[in-house]
Amino acid sequence: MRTAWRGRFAQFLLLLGFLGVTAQLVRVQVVRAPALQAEARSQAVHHVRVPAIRGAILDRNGAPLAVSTPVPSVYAAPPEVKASPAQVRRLAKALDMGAGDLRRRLASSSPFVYLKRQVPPRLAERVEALGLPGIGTVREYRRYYPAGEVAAHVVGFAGIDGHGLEGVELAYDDTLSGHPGQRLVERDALGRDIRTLRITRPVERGQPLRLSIDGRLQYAAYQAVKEAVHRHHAKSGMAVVLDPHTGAVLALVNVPSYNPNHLNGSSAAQRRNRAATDALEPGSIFKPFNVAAALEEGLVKPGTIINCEQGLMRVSGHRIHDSHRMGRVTVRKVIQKSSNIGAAKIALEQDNDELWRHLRDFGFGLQPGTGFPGETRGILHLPYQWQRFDRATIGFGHGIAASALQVARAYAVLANGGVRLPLTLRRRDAHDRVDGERVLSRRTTDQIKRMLNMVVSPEGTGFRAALDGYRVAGKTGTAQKPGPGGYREGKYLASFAGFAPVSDPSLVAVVMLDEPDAPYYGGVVAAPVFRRIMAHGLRLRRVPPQPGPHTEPPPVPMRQASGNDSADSQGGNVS
Amino acid sequence: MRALAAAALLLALALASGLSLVWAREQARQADLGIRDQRDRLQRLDTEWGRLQLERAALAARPRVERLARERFDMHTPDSGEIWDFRP
Repeated sequence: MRTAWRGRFAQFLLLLGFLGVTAQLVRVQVVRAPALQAEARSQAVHHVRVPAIRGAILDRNGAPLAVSTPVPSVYAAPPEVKASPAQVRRLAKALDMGAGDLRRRLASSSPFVYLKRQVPPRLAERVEALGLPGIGTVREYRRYYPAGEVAAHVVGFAGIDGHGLEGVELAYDDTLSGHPGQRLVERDALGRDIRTLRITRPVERGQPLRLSIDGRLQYAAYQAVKEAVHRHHAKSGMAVVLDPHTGAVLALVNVPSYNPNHLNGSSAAQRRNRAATDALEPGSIFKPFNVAAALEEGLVKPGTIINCEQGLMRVSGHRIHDSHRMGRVTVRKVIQKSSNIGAAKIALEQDNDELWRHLRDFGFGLQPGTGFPGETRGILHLPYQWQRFDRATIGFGHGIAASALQVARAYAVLANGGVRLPLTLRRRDAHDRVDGERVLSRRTTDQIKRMLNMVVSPEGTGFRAALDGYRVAGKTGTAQKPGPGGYREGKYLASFAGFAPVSDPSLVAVVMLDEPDAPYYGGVVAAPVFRRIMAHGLRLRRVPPQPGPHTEPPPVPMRQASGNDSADSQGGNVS
Repeated sequence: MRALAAAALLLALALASGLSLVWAREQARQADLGIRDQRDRLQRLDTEWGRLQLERAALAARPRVERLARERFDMHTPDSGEIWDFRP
């Protein structure tokens, strides 16, 4: 009996135990299950952002102008950090930062802080070797600009978060940046990834971008402008080179420049792409457009005689000067010798609305269309605002304002036989159709081209732009700069704009130097820069020079050592 | 007897199912490790590609090429009198 009672009691206890276990099982597995599961998931499952690599920016030949490469960044998850004061000191030493600063960051209440971004791989390895919980490294992308200061203004730069802040980096940010992805990962108690549960959003890598810029020409133009700015103590300088048949911007240069790899120490003024964003009074390089409008309307012919009043004329009580005194001369001579009075008289012959329409057709008052951030449309007042004196000054390029890019585009209209094209910074393929607009007859264009060719003759103001072997067309400009209360004494914008070769222009170039020391004439300071850029550019584009009367005959071609074909031995016999 | 056999069969099936689950998990883990290896490899290759591009850019930098051409190979920019066009 006693044993039976004991057995029963044991049975009862066991039953009670099992019941207890069952009850707890039901409570955990059924009643509290949703809450506990959510908690477990939040501890073990994490969304991880996968950064997208930014597309490279290449020049037209495929040479890199901006490249992204992965680099580690050190981060902390402050709530999870467990480190002794000695460990914090060691970490601070590895990161090369103050221990106090580090402690402040670790005391932050946010779940994620960067301790140091974009560090050398060695530093990241040292931090990982410490093995502190809550401290880790993530992959980010750092942007490098191999061309440095040479193409800084065109390419611009991206911020540390990989978004474009200036230049092409900003203009084409959508194409370049791609889309970051997201992964759902399971982590163990130490925060290490166990497995990827699924990819919530796949990474889309940024697209590479091919620019119209030719790195070689960009470099040559930059060197030429930089040297000229230095030699003439100019405040700044710029150059734009275009392909007149496609509207492609081949080079766009600003001096002074900055190094986009080390932004600290460069000022906002240095970073401004003045050739695209600053509207300046162009001065005499604007005269051909005034004359083209008059020719197109049939108001003058290239041989029409204009009285240049021996260098002084009054319009509505204001005086207009010429630096080169002349009497009665042809329209050709007005351009060749750059007479303000002649240009003013030609402008006064015209109707406000007609002249305005023609100038607009050349792209003045319109955006050049490169999509460059902050690209200016210049200033072209509406014709009903023009007084008689305004029209006279517009005739020689004052009272209006345009960027170097706009002037280049207007010269491209002349070079392209009277068809205006939108400009582009992207490389266009041969089969891409570009919609141009005819704004000038071919006959007028040819007349203007001949006049501009005379500017570069020994009697013209732009003889320093002449190139052996090529016929060059161009125009000098020396514009006095406006300031508060009138034009400023001794402050000039010296410029030269033109194209070559005249018969079938391959390149258009505009060079401007801001406030050079005397002699400040465009024909003296800007024309040689134009000449140098053109000489280099025409060679790069394989435009052969025409042999002149003094050109020596070509040398006997060197024979290839391996050449054993019959033509070669025959050549030997003849000589 | 029949019931016992059925129970044994079910037990065996349950065991097999459980084991196959373990096996499948292991496979998934292995596959995931493989993916992670490939991702690491992609990252290494990205890094190397970036480094090589930068190296190429540094080697082909215009000032360097110009200096080498002038100094080491004694080249100069041809004047227009030195350029002849042999194209037909």
